[in-house]
Amino acid sequence: MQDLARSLSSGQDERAAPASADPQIPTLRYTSADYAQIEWERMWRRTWLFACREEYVSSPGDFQEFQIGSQSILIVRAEDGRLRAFHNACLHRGTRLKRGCGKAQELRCMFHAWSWNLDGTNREITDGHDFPGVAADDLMLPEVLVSVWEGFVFINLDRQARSLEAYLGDVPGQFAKFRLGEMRVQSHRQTVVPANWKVPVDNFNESYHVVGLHPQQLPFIDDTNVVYETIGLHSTELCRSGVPSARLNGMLDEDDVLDGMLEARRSTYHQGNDQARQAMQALEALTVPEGERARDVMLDLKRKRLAGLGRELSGLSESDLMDGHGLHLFPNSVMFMSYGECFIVRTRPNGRDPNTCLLDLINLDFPASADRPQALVEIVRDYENHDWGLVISQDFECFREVQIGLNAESLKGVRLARYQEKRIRNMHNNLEAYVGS
Amino acid sequence: MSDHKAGSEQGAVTVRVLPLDRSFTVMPEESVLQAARSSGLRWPSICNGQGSCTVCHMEVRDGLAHAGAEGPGERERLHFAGRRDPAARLACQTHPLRSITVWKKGVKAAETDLG
Repeated sequence: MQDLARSLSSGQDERAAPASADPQIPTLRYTSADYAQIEWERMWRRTWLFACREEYVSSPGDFQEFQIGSQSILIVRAEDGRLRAFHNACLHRGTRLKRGCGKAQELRCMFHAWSWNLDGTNREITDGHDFPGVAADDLMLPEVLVSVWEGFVFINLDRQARSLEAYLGDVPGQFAKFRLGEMRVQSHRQTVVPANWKVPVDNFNESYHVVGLHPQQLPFIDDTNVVYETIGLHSTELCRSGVPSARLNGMLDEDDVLDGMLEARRSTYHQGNDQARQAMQALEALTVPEGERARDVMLDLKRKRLAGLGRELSGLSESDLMDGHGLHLFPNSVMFMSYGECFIVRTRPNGRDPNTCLLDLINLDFPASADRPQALVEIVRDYENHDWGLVISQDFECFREVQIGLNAESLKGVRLARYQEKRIRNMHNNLEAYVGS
Repeated sequence: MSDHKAGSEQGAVTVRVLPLDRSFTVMPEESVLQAARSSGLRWPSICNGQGSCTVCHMEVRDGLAHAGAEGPGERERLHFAGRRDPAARLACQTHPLRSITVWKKGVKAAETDLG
């Protein structure tokens, strides 16, 4: 099974799409606790998982806890500057060493004061004489793999796993231009969603749903000509922005397109972002000159804003700046970006309940000042009444409805579009390679 | 500018649409969307009157009290699409009782060449 997983991630095309008349994905993958258990045993413990942004652990002593299933992993910047990731459990009687995030000079257990250095070597055993025969080597904190790509810290519970570089394949090359490593967290919200972890991932792996969920975007999102591609374990999409959907049959002119974008900016993905507010004020005064496109007007505005941040824009195409570039990193992280903006949705199982999941929504940008305080994780306890911004709120409302429907006894499987939902099919094919059918 | 008959609950009424500044007659059995298209205007819509896509949304600038009852689920659909202004209506669900003025960008004469 591991060899098959490796071969699937080496750049081979996805399997030929079966006839779309036949339900293709069994619904029990979304609703069965037994299936969730198998996912844990065969997939979550053997894949590279996005744990946190590197800025959370940028200096020696910084630590960040990452929970996946029953496992608590502690990511630590050691004094030698290296990142390490440990199983977050005291080797005496198992107490969790650190919770959440913070800074520490040592990893000290609150229970009996055993302590470890930041590199995982044991520092002190309280009354060590009472533990005869325990060697120092026995007391190294067990490590898991940790690696970084473009500021994203990944961990892998499988110590025998191939490198993150091998796992990501062609992704780094395709996305280097967005300089994600130079971006910083503008906001990070975490909540519990009443849907299986794969439901949000499926949602953000296609733009086929724009016409149903986000009709207000149709004046400026070309949802009918999205380019979907798979790259082994992962997948991408390119969705043009600043041009109207072909579903509108040319009914809108360029002023209407600009007007649509203006409306959307009033409820931006980046809630409370100062840069977004400044951009909003500039937008209110814009018109589209005769013979030009709304896309050109927005492009000009964005170039000026980014230049004001000191960003070098040569080598970036119009598409890099304007369009929506989606990326799914198997298994559970989806992101959507144009140069200078990026949001990430990461899902994780919520205990043993297949009908809910933990969800993180992270926004990245290029900060105007290097002194901007680090964003803290905001726990959203009532996700239904939280203002996520219009588009994300529309997605979130749908997740609940999807999960309820997936539990229908009459529904044994879900159907996928041949092309527009190929990224979902790719994800499930790869999941099957790990878990089995 | 066309005439602005006040209309009545039983007869045809006039809808004036801005910023195009054109007026058209709406018969009692017609919605604003249907009447606009019958009079030669292009009014954006995808679901063509089912009340689901919200693309035909408009803002009633004058005469909101006479715009007529909302269609089934219309307000919920508008809210879902982020349109919470009480003056927002779906053109496909609006059967005005008296003459009204509405704002809807994207309404064009059907012969307009958008290039």
